[in-house]
Amino acid sequence: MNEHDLLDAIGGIDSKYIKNADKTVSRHSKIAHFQRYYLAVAGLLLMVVAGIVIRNNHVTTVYESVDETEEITTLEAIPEESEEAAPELTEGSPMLTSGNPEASEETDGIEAIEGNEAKATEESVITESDDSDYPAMLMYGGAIYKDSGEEYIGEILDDGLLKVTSYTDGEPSEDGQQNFDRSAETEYFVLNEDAIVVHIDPNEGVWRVFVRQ
Amino acid sequence: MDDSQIVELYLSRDESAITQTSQKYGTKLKRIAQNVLSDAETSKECENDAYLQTWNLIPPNEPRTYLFSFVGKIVRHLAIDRLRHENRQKRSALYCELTDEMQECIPGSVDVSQEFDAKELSECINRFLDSCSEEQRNIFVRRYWYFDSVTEICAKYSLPQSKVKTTLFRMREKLKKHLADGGFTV
Repeated sequence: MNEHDLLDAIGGIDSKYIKNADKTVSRHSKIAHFQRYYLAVAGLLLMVVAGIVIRNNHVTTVYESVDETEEITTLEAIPEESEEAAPELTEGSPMLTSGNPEASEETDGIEAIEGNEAKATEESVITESDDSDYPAMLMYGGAIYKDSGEEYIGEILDDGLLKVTSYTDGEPSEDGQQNFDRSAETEYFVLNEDAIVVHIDPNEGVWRVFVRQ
Repeated sequence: MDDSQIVELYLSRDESAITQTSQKYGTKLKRIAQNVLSDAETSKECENDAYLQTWNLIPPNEPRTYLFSFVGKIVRHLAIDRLRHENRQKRSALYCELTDEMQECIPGSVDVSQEFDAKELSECINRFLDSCSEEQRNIFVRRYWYFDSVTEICAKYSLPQSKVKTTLFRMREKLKKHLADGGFTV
C-alpha cells in the first residue's frame, strides 16, 4: 500500500460524506444568520428608541405650543385699561378683588369689586352648584347663609371665629350645620347682620362671603 | 430537474441526461479535475470522459440519490489516472502535496508493498470518518476527495488556516493509527 492507493481508497468513501461536505452549512453562514438576527433586533430597538424620542419631542412641542397659546390668550384677554387700573384697585385693604372700579360697591367699609377673577370664581361655584344638589350653605342664628362666590380678602377677626358643628347632605336645619365640609372643621365669623365669612378652603387660605337668604 | 429524473433519462437512454448532468454539476465536476490536473483543457476532457463513463455505467447502476458523488468519483478517478499515466505529477503541486500528506498516514515503511483489498480499505476509511466530528470529516473530505486547497477550505468554513492545518494533521495521525488497528500494516 502506498500514498496513491490510499488516495484512491479515499475516492471510494461513502456518498453521504461527499454530499455533506458539499452542502454543509458553513460557519460563515451561521455567523451571517446570527448577524441577521442581531441586525433585526438592533433595527427594532432603533425604531423603538426613535419612536420614543420623536414622541417626547412631539409632546414637548405640544406643551410649548400650549404655553405659547395660553400666554397669547392671556395677553389678548386682558384689556389695556384693566392692566393700568389693576394696581390702583388693589391698593388699600381690606377689599374684595374686582376688575371694574365703576362696578364696585361698598359694604360696611369693605369694597367688593367684581372682576375677571370674581367672575371666574362665580362660574366655578355655579358649576359646582350645578353638579351638586345644593349650593354651599351654613345656618347661623336660625338663618341660612349661602355662598355668594365672592372671596373675602379683608381682615380676619380671630376673636370672633366660630366653628361649624355638623354636616348635612341637604339644606342645614340647625345652627352651625353646613353642607360642604364632611369633617366639620370649617371656621367662620360674622361679618355683619347679612353676611358671614367662611374659611371655605383652609389649604388655599380662601375665605368666602356667605350672604343671608 | 432532480437527480432521480436525470437518472431516469439515463435509464431510458435519453442523451439529454448528459446535458442535464452537465448543467447541474458541470462546474463542480470540472473543478475537481482542475484541482488535480491544474489544466483547464485537460480538466474539460476529463469532465466529458466522466459523462461518457456515466452513460455507460447507468444502467446497471441507478444512483438516484447520489448522482453527484457517483459522477464525481468517476471524474476524480479519471483525473488522477490521467495525471499518473501522463507522468505529470510534477506539474501539479497540489497533487504532490496531497500524496506527501497521504504518506504520513501509511503505517510502516512505504517501500514494502502489501496486498490489500481496495474495497476493504475504503470501508476502513469510512469507519474512520464515522468516528470523527462533522467538522473534521468535512475538512478531511474537502481536502482529500474534492482536492480543495487549505485556503479554499478556510474560505468555505470561515476557519483560520492554523485550525484547518492542525485538524488535518491530527486526522492524518488518527487515520494512521486507525489503519494500523485495521490490519493495514506492513
